[in-house]
Amino acid sequence: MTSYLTFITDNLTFGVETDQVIEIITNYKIRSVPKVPDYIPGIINLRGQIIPIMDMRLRLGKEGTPYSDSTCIIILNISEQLMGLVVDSVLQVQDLDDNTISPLPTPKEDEPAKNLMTLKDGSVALLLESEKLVCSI
Amino acid sequence: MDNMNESLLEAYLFETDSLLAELDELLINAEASGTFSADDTNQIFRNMHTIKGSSAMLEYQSLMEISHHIEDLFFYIRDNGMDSLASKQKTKLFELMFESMDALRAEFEKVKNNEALATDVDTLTLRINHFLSKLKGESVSPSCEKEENIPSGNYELLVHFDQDCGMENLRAFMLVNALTQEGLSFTFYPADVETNPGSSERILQDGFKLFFDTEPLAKEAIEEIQNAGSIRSYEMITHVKETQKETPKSAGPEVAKPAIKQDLISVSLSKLDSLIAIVGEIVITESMVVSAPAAKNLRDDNFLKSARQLRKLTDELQDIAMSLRMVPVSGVFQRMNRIVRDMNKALNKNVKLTLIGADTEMDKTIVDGISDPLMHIVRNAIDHGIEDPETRKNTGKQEQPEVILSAKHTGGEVIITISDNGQGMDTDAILSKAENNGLLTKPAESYTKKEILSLLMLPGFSTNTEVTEYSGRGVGLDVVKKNVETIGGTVTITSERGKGSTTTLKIPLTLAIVDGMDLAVGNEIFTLPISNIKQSFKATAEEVVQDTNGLEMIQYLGEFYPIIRLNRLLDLERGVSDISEGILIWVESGDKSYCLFVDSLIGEQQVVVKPLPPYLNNFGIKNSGISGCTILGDGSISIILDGAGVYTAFAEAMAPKKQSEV
Repeated sequence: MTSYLTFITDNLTFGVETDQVIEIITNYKIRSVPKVPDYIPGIINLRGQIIPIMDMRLRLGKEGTPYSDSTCIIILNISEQLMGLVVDSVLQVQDLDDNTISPLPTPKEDEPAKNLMTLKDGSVALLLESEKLVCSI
Repeated sequence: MDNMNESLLEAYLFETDSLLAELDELLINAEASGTFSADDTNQIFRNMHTIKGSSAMLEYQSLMEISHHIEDLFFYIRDNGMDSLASKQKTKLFELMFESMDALRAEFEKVKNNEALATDVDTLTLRINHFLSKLKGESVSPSCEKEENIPSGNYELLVHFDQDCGMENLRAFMLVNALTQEGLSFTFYPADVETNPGSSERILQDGFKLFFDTEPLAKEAIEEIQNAGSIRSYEMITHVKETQKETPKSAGPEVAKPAIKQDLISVSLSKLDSLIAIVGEIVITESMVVSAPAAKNLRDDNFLKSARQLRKLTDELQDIAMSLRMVPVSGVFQRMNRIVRDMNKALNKNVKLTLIGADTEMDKTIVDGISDPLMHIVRNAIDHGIEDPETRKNTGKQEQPEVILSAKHTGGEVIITISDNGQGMDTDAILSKAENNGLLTKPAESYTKKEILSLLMLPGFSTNTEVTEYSGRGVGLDVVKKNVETIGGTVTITSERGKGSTTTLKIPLTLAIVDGMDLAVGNEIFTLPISNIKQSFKATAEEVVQDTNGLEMIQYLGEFYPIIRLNRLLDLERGVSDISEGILIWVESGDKSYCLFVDSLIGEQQVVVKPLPPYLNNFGIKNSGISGCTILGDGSISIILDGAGVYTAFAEAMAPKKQSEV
């Protein structure tokens, strides 16, 4: 059994291992950084730590939405580096068996998800491979 | 070893590391002078002795064995003097010592990384023994056995050690040490436990005897003995004698150990980090409190006075906290001595290493971080930069081959250069190799010299992926670059054919406090180090002139300066474009002078430089004149600019434009 945090970005449901999740924050002021791709809206000051932010929608090449006070940022620990992920909304935490995970029928090398998992209510979520988010630029 | 105390291990690691470093330096210097002075001998003896003792305590057999044998060797040398050695033997001795130091280091690293230690170090210890016996055989030493004096006291403690614990003499000596540290006065038998391994047999048979004059002393000792390890049994025997012979305690070398460590304590880095983090928070909170709107309207003298006092104290606190992490680079620099020495031996190049600015202080993490890259660059320089003596002779180079290692502070950075007076780099060869490896992104002819040299640092230029023992021109330089970049630095290489090459590492002082000027562009705040700023002034659009490339310039105090618009340079969407609405800052950094155009100046502030998240380095934002960021009083983030970097970024942004227009 592994527990996963599920969230929605542009009508896609994703799951990420809770081991990687540090916390979920809202209402943070993002300081933009020049000369970075548009999917990096900037950096935030999380209690003195400077953490880069990535917009999940833009990262996936979708249309972005303006940020508001209720924009959710999931702080992830990706190979010992912290990264904030802007998502539309956070759903819940579910404990899932490993056998509920099956590979995507048509995996692509640089996609941040390679596997599907079946959630308890029968819906399907993409298993986020957060390392992929940061390594393929 | 499961119950081993963490702090004990930490102390051991720290102590042994500094002792080994001390010895490293001493060996290099001694080899240069060709002999060990009496002081050197004593120090080696003492250091080895301490290493032996503490290693034995923690049961690191291999470290103990090696240091034990070296100690024996130097015990002999100390008594007979270096002069008793033939010059050939001296060379042999140095070789042996360097080898032993390497072995000790290797074992020590294993301890540090929690790996299994070597179980068998006999080959080395046998050679040391062999060497020692040869020394003894060849020089007739007058070291006659000292008369053994069985000491006595009213109260005798007879201690038996665990069977099979081994090295009884050493354990006995550790006990003696522990008791001496408690401030007890006593005598013991056998008295030569420290120097004579043979005494362990006697201890095994008859036990180790300690003699005390008074009963309280003996009782205190018993408490101490109860705490000591590997002791099977002890008993107290009371002799009441009329005459007491005052036997002076044998003045072991341990007594002579200088108490340098007294005013130093070792603190774990994580504790220091949390201290610094808190101090940083305090500084920010302080400015939040003082600049709070409610406080600003307060016209209370007492409040203002206290606020100023608080400001002063927090500044001091911050300075001190920052300085705690600063260590001189000399430790790392000294290590290069050893590399140069070894390579000189192996390659027969007689390279001289010159160290400049070894006392430059840097953050501890950074000092640790540059060790590997430096080592690699120095190896490269000697192996490939410096020609062999023949070639040098043929090309008419008179001077001694030299590698210069220098460190210096400039503004917010430390600049470390490694330069050699060797043959320089063959740009054609580099270019063709890069071409073969498919690394060129444009026609080979259009590469400038600078670009060619930076090819060396591309991943894939070399086939090795790690910094290894082997150096080759460009081998693993990408790893060097990566290592330096992880600590926020940059690497540049310059080279002149036939004259030599210079590698420059520019490393920011992380955690450094910078006196910064906050600038606004649009609604965003940037901070520029005050040290870069000469002046700021207003100008009108009429004063601005343009050259054929559309480069804006302004005449100020009789000189023309290029105008760099920050919002254009960094592709910011906002910010004023009318020159008369904003303000120009005359920036000077190094030999670059220019005017930076921003919306307005906000004010001066001391800021704590924080590095940008490493992930962002993937996008090369370091090349756009950004050196870090900082947290402002209200919790928002300001981006710190670097005067020289802004110019470089500007020049690069202009360059392709020029080409396309030509």
